[in-house]
Amino acid sequence: MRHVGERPDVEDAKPLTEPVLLILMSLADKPRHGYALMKDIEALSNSRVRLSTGTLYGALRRLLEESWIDRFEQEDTSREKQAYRLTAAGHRQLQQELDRMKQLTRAAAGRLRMKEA
Amino acid sequence: MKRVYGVFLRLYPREYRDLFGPEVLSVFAQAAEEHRERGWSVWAWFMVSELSGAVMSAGGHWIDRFSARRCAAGPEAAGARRSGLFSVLDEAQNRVDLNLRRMEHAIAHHDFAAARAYSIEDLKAREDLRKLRDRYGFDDDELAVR
Repeated sequence: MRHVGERPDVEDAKPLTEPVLLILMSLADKPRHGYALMKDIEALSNSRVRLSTGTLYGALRRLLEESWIDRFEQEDTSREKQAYRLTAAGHRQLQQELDRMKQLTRAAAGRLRMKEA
Repeated sequence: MKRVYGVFLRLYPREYRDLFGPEVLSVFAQAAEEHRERGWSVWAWFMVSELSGAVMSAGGHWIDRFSARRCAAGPEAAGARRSGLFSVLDEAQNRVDLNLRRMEHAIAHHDFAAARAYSIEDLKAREDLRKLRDRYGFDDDELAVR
């Protein structure tokens, strides 16, 4: 059901789950293979989030199906050949999520300021 | 331990194992090696979280799979077809359709040599499609194949 006053351009935008957001963030600067993704996500979240292998690949599968990432063979790695990179659609989704979070942060900061004043 | 995780991997749908199986095992082995170096308690906790994560994730994959099958038969089929699995099936179906059109065209123009060649191609394309359906557990009605 569409809510009154809902913007049509953000109608389909649902908040991303934390694993998905972290994977997209991790792939934003360069392509990574599975284990590198796992390590980078741990670093990005200050060791707060450690994705299990099952959770990581579950999220990767869904992202591949949505075409937000793609999979390719990386020739310069010896142990794992398959790497993942962000597609244009994935980049757009990440940007959209960051905009949503910025808007929420601004709103929350505004409310706090109002309470303090 | 890689063998134990391999057993848990059997809980996943076949298409997932075909696509990610060796890669998942390799990532798991690297992570296990790293955690083992940090001590037995860290390693034990890692194993518990990995194996429980594997079970939960496998459940999620099966739910997604059944939802996709329901979507395929329903009005949201067009959206579901965008997913990788449906793209592969659509592609195989398109090859069958294309061959059929070419064969009809060749027959209409009395080019029977070409028609025979397309007929052989048609058999191969249909066999490929049948194998894909069998592999992913779809039947004709579920996919609403043209």
